[in-house]
Amino acid sequence: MSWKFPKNPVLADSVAEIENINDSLRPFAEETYGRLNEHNWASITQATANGGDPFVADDVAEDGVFVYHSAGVHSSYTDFLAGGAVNAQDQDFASWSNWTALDSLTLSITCPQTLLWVHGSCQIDCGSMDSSTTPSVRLAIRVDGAILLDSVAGTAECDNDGVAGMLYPAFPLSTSFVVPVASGEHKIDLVVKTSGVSPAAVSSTAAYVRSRELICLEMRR
Amino acid sequence: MAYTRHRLKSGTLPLRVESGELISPETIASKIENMYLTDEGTLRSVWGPAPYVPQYSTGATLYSNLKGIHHAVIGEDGSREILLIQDGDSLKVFRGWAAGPGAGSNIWYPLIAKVGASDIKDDFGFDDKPRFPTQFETTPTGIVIIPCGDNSRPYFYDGKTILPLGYPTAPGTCVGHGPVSLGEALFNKRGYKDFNGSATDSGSQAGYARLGSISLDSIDRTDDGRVKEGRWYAAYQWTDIWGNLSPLSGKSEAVSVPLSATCKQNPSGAGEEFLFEQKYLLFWEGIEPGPTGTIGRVFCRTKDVLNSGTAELFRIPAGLVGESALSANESDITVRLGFTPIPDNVTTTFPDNIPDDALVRQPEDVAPVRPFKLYTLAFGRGWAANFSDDPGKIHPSIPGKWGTFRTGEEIFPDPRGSEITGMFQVPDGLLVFTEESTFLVVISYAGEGFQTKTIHPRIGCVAPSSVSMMPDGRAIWLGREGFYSYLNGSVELISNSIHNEISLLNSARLVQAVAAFDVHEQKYRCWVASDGSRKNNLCWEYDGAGWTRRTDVTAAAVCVTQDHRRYMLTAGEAEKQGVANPIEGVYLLDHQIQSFDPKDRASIIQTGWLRTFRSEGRGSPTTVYLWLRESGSGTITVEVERDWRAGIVETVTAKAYPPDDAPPFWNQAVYGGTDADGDALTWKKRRPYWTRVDIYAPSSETFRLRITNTVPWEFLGLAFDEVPQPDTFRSAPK
Repeated sequence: MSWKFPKNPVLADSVAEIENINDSLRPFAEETYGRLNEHNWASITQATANGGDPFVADDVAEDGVFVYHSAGVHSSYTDFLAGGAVNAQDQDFASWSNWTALDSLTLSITCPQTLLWVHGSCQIDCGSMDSSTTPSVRLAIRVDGAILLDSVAGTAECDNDGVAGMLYPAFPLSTSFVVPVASGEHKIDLVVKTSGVSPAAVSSTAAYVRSRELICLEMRR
Repeated sequence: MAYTRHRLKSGTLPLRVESGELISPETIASKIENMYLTDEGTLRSVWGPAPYVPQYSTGATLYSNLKGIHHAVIGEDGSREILLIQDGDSLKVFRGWAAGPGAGSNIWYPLIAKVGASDIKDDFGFDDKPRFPTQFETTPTGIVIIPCGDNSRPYFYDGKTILPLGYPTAPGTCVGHGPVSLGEALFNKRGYKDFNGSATDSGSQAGYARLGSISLDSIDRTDDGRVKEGRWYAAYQWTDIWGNLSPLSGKSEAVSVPLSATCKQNPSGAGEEFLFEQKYLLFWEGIEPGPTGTIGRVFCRTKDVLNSGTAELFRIPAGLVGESALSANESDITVRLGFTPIPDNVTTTFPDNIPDDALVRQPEDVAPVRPFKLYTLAFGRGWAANFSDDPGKIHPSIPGKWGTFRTGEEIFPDPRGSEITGMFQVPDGLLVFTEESTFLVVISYAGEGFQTKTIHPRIGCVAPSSVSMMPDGRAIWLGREGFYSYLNGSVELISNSIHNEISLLNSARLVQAVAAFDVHEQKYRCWVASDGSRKNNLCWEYDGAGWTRRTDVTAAAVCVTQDHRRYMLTAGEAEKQGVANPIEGVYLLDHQIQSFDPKDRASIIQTGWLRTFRSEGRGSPTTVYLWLRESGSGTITVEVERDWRAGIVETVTAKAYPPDDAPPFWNQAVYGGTDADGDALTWKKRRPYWTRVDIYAPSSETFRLRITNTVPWEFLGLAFDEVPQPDTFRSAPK
């Protein structure tokens, strides 16, 4: 790992010794077949400045050890309360929904055994100030079809939980989770579930998921 | 030449260690300087050092005044390699990927600096006064750093982020509100009650509130009881990205809720309600966000102090935040929000619907982190010592939380409160030093906490960075009188043989001595300021049996890389051939590269005074046999001194190779050529050989040999011939 140095100098008039030569070569051979690390590669800034090829995309110890995946959908803001239109990018949910994946946000990645750091965020807009009719919204991360329970954010009871943006018609939800995965192919997505105000009442108001983003970092280092 | 039959031949003198004593066995040298004990048991002249970072641009100055160096490998499978230095008033980290002469070169990235770009701005109060070198300690999650300076404070660096270690202050006190304090729309409406007026059902959508102690003191069948008068207090503490906790804030003012109105079993009229609807929730505000690095707040509350029988604070369980029931008959729904009740550093309010019976775990009572000068790991804890407000105090951290110190766990090993000058973990505990005493911290016999015992009431340590450990488990350090070792409860002075040299150390600068154990040469190496120097200009080496010295670098700090390389790196100065002044830098010892040609440096083996035990009769040393290993085409110098005087009476030379079996030399041998016997030249493994020099020191009482060279050479031993001068009038000195 890291920087290696020749051990003994080969100096003029010294005995042409086999050990000195070996000591000067062996450390580098070991390292080449060993554990090179972030200090062994030039950053793009250094490599190009000195006429070299940018072997890596960026500073290894900063970002290069993370492999970055993301997907996002942007929906321009329109004020539902003021009669604004629903955009084509908005995804609507009935007041009682199952866990449903957010559109255009699924990541399919192939990675070695590593840690995935998943960030998900979205804008919820219920279009109503009336908490007696708007559903509560929960957001979660799903990896290979399994919802990570500890990633569930939001609430099933919006007026009892400030985090969910209680009594506001629009609010953000975000969640983050670090999960180890085995090597292979993996599917990561964000899922949303809505809950009506009570088991007996079915809300007539939908909740819309508007701008949304999913980021997944392979933390390979 | 004298007839050999009349000669006395000495035994072979291996000379591997030195002694400053006037009379010592002839197998002990009086000086061994810049000689390296090889794997094969020979002494080879020290080579190198190699600058760890090449000077890419002519005239470029990479360093100003180095005071500390540390190497660590942290993360899973050693995934992050970190090399840190303190250079003057900056703390810097090595970034190999930014090496080179290009515009992006920033190989030493400043983490902390007084001026200029850096992650953190700080003024250590750096100067050149004698003080502890920069202290580093690697923990499983990062490195504790205590910069060298007059008013430095500890930091923590995890390879990505650097921040002050722990919290020096407690957060401010929060303010609580009962049910009538704020407008009901702000939080749980259903549990919210107006106690001063008629009960108001304030909404049907929220879950039921949970605070309040029920009194079942019904007086008739329609009376269900009341919610008693209650009182609550709250406090909180910050937590940072490494799990460190701040001290608890002060307790809030009490939130008092009066006795509720009578409840009805079957509410029918306005203002009548079920008993469970009488409960309420609280609301806290003024919860301060913490300093940079804070990622959450641990919120704590008492139970109802009027009814629960305890006034202690309890942590709000993180998993319960937001928990509520949709109706009285429905199961709870838990929304898990994170690792702390307030998993952010932004909000200042906390709606509190946590029932008293969910409060189980008490918070840590944490002391504020005052600046301290020393830190080490032992017993799974970090031990801080020599605090600015109490130099004689040591304080263990909570296991795993390297900057969190529980109140009441402080230890004062020295009852006199003397300044702690070092700490070091040994197999039987933690050694703690003052300048003039040594203690051992061990796990308390009672099984909880720690206790100290005095190891030596008079021997201490003067330099915290001089402590290191030999492979046999012996700890070695520099005390006032010299080097000491500790093993199995006993302290021993191990530098008696070089005591005359120890007396030359600059006692005012002993505090800055630095040491490390070299796993390749298997020697403890300690750099000290000697002969009035302000800098650590001399390195004493100890192999477990005796001492040698070296002067290849001036080291303000030293470390051994914690990876498979096990390189010994020094921060200091070295001299380059053709350059007038020493060059400041980070140097790798015992390695040499072509771009840095070290200044000519003598490698010396000087015998003790020979034939001292028969000096009452004179003798004439005639021949010195040198047992060397072929090293080059040059010569080796032998100087002779006699009769206890340091003046050189004769200088002779010997070939650095066996003339009757000369090996091929680099730069001289012809590729594809033949040797003197006509055999093809091949790479050789260097062989030992004997060579002989004749010296002239007739009728000496004693004599001394100094073998020296500035080019590489290798020594196995020596012997000498002597012609005694017995039974003559001249032979006995008058």
